[in-house]
Amino acid sequence: MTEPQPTIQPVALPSRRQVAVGSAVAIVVAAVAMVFFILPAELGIDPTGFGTRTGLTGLAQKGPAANIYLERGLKRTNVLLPLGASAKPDEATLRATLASKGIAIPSSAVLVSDHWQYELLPYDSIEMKYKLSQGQPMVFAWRAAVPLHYDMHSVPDEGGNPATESFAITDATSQTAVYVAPFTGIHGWFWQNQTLNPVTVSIDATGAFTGAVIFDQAGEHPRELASSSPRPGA
Amino acid sequence: MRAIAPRLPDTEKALRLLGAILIAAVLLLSAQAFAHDLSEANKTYVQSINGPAPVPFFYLGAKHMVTGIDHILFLIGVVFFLYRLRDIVIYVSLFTLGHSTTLILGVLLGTGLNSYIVDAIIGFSVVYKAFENMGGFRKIGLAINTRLAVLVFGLFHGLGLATKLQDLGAGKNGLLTNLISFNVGVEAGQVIALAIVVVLLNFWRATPSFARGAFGANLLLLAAGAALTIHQLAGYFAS
Repeated sequence: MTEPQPTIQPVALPSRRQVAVGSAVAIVVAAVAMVFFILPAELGIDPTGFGTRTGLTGLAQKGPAANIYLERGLKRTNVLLPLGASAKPDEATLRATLASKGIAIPSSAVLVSDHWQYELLPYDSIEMKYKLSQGQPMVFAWRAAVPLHYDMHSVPDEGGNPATESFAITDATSQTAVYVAPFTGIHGWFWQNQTLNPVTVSIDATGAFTGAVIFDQAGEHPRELASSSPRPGA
Repeated sequence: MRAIAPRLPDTEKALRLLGAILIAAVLLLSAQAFAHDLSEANKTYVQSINGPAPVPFFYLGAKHMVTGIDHILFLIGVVFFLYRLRDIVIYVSLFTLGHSTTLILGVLLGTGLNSYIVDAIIGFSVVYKAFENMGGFRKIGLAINTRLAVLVFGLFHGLGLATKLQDLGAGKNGLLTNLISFNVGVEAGQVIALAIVVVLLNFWRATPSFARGAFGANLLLLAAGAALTIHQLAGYFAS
């Protein structure tokens, strides 16, 4: 076996012809890479449509504002009506907030209350969502001792995950708001503890939800509502 | 290409300029190396991919290789004294065999070594190769099979690639397609990087300054590899 020894062998410079052909090939390769790959993936410029067809342009999205789910969700109006942190998540608050916006509670609404809490271990995350039909409202208040990263979003029964809409993606210690379901599906939160200490997130909600689901590392689980005393609505 | 072409002083000057540009380019690249981890925006997008997406993963693989200073420095070391195409193909194939094996197995088995440690070993592979190029092992009376060494370090480079891909948090759906696309992209990026490195090295090889500068160039490689290793080890102990 002849191993090349680190000796220095004299080699010739390429001929003019080799330089010309080599440069031409290099320029063509660079142009193709630029037009088909680099421009679509880095800048979202896609002259051939190749980037859109293959999903390359998705790589050009910058930062959270470019989140397609959030973009979709933020186009909606009268879905998320934020309240002050001191507002009580009860039926009175729900009715008063909706009335002030001129939003009627559907006559089919059966309002129930719910309480849930969960301890997030360091860098642990959890998702909890309520089942709401289109047009049904809820009022909620969740809080934690330190800021949690969260994504409030909804997944429609028709369309599933690709049709997800996000309404808020940020870090906060609490969120209090009235929410009116823009479509039938599951509506709720992804919370992530971004600290090295355990953090408990607790939520109180009143609304026309018919159930709740939890998504953890083991998958999707239905959850019993904590206080399910149905009261006739409207 | 029979004999060394007679060089005019102009050619010599042009090659010096080329050399200066090359060094500047390497410095720029190393500045980018700190931004080397695939960006957060890419991460968000990759996590939203559910199913096979060969082209984006191909692109990410190629980009990782072309902008990855650690992989490129190692390749420079490997081909530094190789000018015959046959040797280049043999050594690069060994490297590819090594890193493809651990990339694919690493991701499929979900094995995650600490990324700082893997990157430190990758940095050390540059030190090793530069030391070998300087004739260091022969001087201290060690005869290490160079092909075996390239294969073994290839395995570590693959572990590094596997860690990067796992950090992206790609979904299980279509994982095999995406993984293979990433690997093919890595090879495409490697061919692009190698083409540039080999062409520039061959231009330099054709001048007398190559003989004078080869030792110094490998010393620089060694220093860069040592810097990468220390940087990663510092990251490991700080984490």
